[in-house]
Amino acid sequence: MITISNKRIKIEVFRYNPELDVRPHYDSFKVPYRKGMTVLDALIYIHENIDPTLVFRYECKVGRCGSCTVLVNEIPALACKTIINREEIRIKPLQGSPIIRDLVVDLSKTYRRFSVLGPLFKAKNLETGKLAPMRVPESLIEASKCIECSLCDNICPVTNQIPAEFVGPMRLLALSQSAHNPLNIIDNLSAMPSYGLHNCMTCQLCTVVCPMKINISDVATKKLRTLVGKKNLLPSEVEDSLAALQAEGNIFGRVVSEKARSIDTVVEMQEKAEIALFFGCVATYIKPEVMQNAMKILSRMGIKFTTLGIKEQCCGYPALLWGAKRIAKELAKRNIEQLQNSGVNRACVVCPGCYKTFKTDYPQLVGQMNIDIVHISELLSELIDERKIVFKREVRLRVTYHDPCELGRNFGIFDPPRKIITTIPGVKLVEMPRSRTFALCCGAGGGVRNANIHLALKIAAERVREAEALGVDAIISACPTCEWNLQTAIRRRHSKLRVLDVTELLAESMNL
Amino acid sequence: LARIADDVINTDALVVGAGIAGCLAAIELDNCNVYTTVVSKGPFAKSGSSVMSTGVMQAALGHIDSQDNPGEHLKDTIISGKYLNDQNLVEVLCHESIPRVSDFEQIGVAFSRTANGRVHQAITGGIRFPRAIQALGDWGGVHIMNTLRKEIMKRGISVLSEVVVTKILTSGNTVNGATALDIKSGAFIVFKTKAIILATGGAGQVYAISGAPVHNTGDGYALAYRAGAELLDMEFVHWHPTLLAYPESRKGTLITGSTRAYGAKFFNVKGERFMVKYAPQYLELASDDIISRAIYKEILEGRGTQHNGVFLDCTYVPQKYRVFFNQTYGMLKETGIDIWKEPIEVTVGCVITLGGLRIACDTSTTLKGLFACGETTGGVHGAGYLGGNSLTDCAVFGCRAGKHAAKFVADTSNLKLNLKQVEVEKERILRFFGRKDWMHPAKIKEKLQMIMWEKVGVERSGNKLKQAIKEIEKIRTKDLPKVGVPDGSRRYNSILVQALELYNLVDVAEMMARSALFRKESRGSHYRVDYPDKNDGKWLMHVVIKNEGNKMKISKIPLS
Repeated sequence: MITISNKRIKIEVFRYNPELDVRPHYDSFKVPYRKGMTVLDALIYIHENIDPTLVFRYECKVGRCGSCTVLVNEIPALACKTIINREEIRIKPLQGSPIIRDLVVDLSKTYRRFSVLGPLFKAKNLETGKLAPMRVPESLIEASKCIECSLCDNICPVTNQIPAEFVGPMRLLALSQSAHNPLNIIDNLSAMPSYGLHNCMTCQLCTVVCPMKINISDVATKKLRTLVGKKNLLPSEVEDSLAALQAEGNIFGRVVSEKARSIDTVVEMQEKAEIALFFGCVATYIKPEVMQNAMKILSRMGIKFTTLGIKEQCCGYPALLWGAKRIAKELAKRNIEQLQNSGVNRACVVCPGCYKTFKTDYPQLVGQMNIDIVHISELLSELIDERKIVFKREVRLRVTYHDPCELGRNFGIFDPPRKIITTIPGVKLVEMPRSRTFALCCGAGGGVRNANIHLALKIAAERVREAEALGVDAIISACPTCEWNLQTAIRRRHSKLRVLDVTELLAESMNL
Repeated sequence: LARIADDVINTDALVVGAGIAGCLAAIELDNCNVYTTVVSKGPFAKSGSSVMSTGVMQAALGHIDSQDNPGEHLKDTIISGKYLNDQNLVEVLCHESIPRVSDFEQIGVAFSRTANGRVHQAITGGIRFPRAIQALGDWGGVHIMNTLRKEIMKRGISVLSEVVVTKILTSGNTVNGATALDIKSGAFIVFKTKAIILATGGAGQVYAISGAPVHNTGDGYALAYRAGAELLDMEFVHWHPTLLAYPESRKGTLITGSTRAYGAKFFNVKGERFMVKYAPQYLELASDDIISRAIYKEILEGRGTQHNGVFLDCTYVPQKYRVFFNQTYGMLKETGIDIWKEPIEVTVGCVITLGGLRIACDTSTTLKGLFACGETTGGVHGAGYLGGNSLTDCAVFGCRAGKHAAKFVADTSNLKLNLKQVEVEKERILRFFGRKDWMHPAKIKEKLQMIMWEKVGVERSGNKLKQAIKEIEKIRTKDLPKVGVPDGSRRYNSILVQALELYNLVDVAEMMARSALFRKESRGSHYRVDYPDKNDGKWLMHVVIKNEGNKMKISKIPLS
């Protein structure tokens, strides 16, 4: 948090009265700062003391009603819940709705959009005045916290990109309430494809802006997908990859020998390893260079590591995305067993999806394991701190870094990959407008690349354009899936941009 | 008429206010196939007190303790109300709360359940059996309102969001329409209707420190008063002793009383634990009435904090109980205050106004065709509020209002509007434009709130009340004519709305002050230093106030 030394802060506010103004403009106000001041406090101050013609909505002032929605420095937020922590703030109305005046927009369309869902609730026929005994599921309790402020819809890249094909997080939560209420006899599950349940990238931007901090991709997307899966209503592409997952232990349905070969050709297995490397499906079958670079770097630095070789199974992340807990549990058991057999107490993953699964899902699926999980970027940044990495040459590149959702937003691992990038001689890092917590997903998240390749590439193209606008030579990522998807989009656009994994960049500088 | 109004809307029933009471009334009217229009001053389902409710509702379901029944609920309510409740209304409240809970569940509102599937019921302040049920969600009121909105939209009931009703039109003793301002466009709307249901909530905003949302300005009281309806027991409000006085952004937010049950202590600015003086035996665990008066006195006598509060020191709460207060902690932590490290500033404030329109059990008021429900009415809570009964009130009487208004509509034909009334009202609204040397309504509102707080507050006296009436009169004659709006645009002119609200607040403030002066005893939340005792012989009576020839006529009537 920035400390505010100034006693006054500068608030820039969007102004537009369609009745009087030809075009919108910004007014700048100086507002005396108080500790704990919210954006709403500042607006009220302006209205009562500087410019009474400034209009905005608010009701409850404590984050319950959800009516004071605005953009604060481009991020959708409740004015009453946003504590002022910088000296300059720009306030705009929510985007995508007609402006009534200044910060007030007409949200009637947003709320009418609930009607695309059709009836959500009809109770079991009960005798009037009787209350049926029922168990209230945890998902219903969580989903009911929603105050329907629509901030999540406002930031959701998917519903903004293809509104007709995705109903958006706010309505997904309403569907989750409907599906989890034991009294409800309305079954919405067969309509889920038309609501675009498979199009959620589980990127969790929605949760970042949610004033109630509801984990929407868990409470709505994944829970609903579980129910849909039980009724065999998943998209056929997804059914296929789940079947492949069960048969071959990876979503691509490749046979294991291919994988084993690709590992063996690089280095020999080390004895008495201190750490195990876990690659995941994409780094093994699609982006083997990521896997190979990781091994080359570690072995150059004399780190004794091992791999699970042909025994490595998919971590289960894709199965969990589609709510197939049973499959994930089976995979988890096998992987944990192998890791324990290898005798290490630390494992390093190259894929943020695996990272999330090992860290948060395995303890729930198979109980606590005594293995410390690190992401390769964390491990490498540790080695940089210990000055163990020797750079052999300059890499003359202007690059930007794309935060993978699971690594960044979910675990807050923003700095280790950046440290690696900025330490490499010759590399210049520039940030995209949407970075760190607010980074845009690569488009492949949530199983979307599998279920809806068009959407995946549309979002990827948006991300690539964002990078292109910076005039950089390359996008650096720390996730093989992001790299894969961005690469596809770049190829389609015939762009000159390169996409590199942070390990590839490092390997280049180490002359590997 | 088309010449005067920008829009004329014909409807069979007009529901003013779209909180829980208003929505349930509309749904019931729709069940009876009455063409209904709902008007919401704020954004629909995002304004008013209902969304701020914790979702706690009293209903004697007997799910936890089968000994509980509506009779016990009635007893608790009347003891809390200091026997001043309208017992017929309470009878209805306690019996019909049970089917209303299942009505809620029938439209998708879910209530907390126990592990064995029964409705979870808790003991709360003032009740002897576990009876309080809790709607899901961190804020149960939000969950209820979101569900009601979907139900209303599903039924296709017409809802006008951000439209404020400015006047009830009458023909003799019968209502026949209303005028309104569409805040969004500034259009002047005239409604022709057979029945009006007032569900506009209370008037918490008449006090500076209030748990009520900013638009809770007693519109229903003022509209009905000006139309000639009778109002009941306006001197009673529900005081809560620990509303935040600081930080500004969280001012008025209620801090749960359980902090005190787990050890939090009060201090004044001199560091004195002042409850030693007022209630040496019970200290911080004394009743809310006693604590409220103590805090009020400390502040008025100059021992309050910088922000006109007293310190509530939660650092005395032992570590192991702190987990109960995570929500309070989080809400303040984001503003930079740590309740486990420093004392917070709290003060006594008004949460609910208990008086209101005089209604019969069928929610009819003293005007024909005018119905009222929820906080807009008086009589249900008597002189003291039983926590959780407010949601019950809205559910039970909201539904009743719909049902009985529907019956009324069926036997009524439209009356002709009095165009003169419409014209006068339009002029009143347009008068705010183009005033020179105009005053911001927010500044006058602040002044009014201060008068109410100091002189019609927790501790009242004949002298202070007389002064208050004088000062309110002065605001009416000197300040109100200067209230204006700064720009000529009628589009989302929020100052225009504030100006209209201010007129309502001034009327309500005067009604409250006059009723308080009239009642020469102390009962429940109404405490007079000059009449410190309850006087059942003379004052077990309702105080009724009514507009007669632009004068407030005040009288007392026996309990029903």
